[in-house]
Amino acid sequence: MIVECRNLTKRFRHQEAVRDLTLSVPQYAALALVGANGAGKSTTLRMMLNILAPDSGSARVLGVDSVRLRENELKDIGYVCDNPVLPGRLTVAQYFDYLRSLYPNWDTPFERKLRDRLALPTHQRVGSLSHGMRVKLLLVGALAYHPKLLVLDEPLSGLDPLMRDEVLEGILGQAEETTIIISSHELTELEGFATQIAFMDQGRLLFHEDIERTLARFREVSVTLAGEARPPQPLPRHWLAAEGTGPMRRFVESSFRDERELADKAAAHFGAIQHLETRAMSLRDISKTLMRANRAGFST
Amino acid sequence: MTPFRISLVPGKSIFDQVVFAVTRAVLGGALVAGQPFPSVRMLAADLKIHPNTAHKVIQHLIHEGWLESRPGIGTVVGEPPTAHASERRKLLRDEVEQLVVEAVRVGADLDEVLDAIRTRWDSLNGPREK
Repeated sequence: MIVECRNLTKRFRHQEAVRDLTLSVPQYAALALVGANGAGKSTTLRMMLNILAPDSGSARVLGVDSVRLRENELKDIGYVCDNPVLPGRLTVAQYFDYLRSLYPNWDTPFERKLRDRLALPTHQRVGSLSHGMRVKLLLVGALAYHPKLLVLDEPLSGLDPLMRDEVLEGILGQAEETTIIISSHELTELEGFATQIAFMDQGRLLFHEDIERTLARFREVSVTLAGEARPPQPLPRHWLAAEGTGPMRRFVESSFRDERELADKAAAHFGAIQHLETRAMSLRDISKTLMRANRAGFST
Repeated sequence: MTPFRISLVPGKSIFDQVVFAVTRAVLGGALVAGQPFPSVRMLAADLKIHPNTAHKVIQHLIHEGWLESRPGIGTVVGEPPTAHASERRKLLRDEVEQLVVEAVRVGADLDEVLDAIRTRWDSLNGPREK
């Protein structure tokens, strides 16, 4: 395991930003950390990298306790966040000169290739770069030493579509040799690329699994009732976002196995059904459903 | 640019979608035997998918004979396999499923469906015979 978090907890004033989070990330995974604003994603990532210390619990990164991370591990970790503090008066070239001196494992030919590919200007001051250019700068700075772990906190936010593609391609180019943890709201793009999903809400980890599992178990279901609607009953476990009028019912099934089993469950709950249809859900739709459900106080 | 048509649909297995798109392109003639096929890196970058998935796709297609690995050259499109009929049936399975389910839903009978298919078929294929 490249990262192992155990019961991580962090409190700010009286608010628990992260509660009892336990999560292990295997080597070469591309983990998408998903959740609403304020769910605790950034705080979790910062604890992994020892930017913040946990109040309780622990994290091991590259085999070392996070609070003991030193040059030996940090030289193998790349970090891109969306509001970095950068030396504004250095030019891009000077910035890379500076970074290069910090990393014994820096790959200069690779740095030059990345700078070209991402079209980074050479003599412009870092402070006058656009937001997108700054993200690309950070990305090159994080990739140039072929890190074993790449942590990206909202790298795509605020980028125009072309820059999003370029940044994503830059990340993808390294995906075979790196373990990646990426927190992002841009779920459409992540869906193609993530191998695992960890979903957080209000400081808690709701689930962590392979993305294929997530996509396989969630279905949008619509049901047409055959006869009289039964009086409303408490929803079966794993059903979310139930609604409907007249003979139509809609809900989200989060433990889908096959249509036969689902039809049985639906008939048991609603009474005789005339027709049942299911639709696969995108990662984006699944996340929205979960965020909405958690706001309303359901568990999954 | 990927040399075959594909539009990734969210919610469905990426591996399945890409394999499907390639086999379809080979059978349909859009990909020609001997034509270079994108590398793992290029495929991953073009489709914005993880290189591991791209790798699995290409390995699977090589194993099934749709692609060939030529040392020194890279991956190229292979000769379409000879078992045409059963492959075609597999490729059309989703569309057949959709059509049959929809037909049953609206209460059409088999003859109506075959008629509708035949009409559309003729309009697509007819003029070319001349």
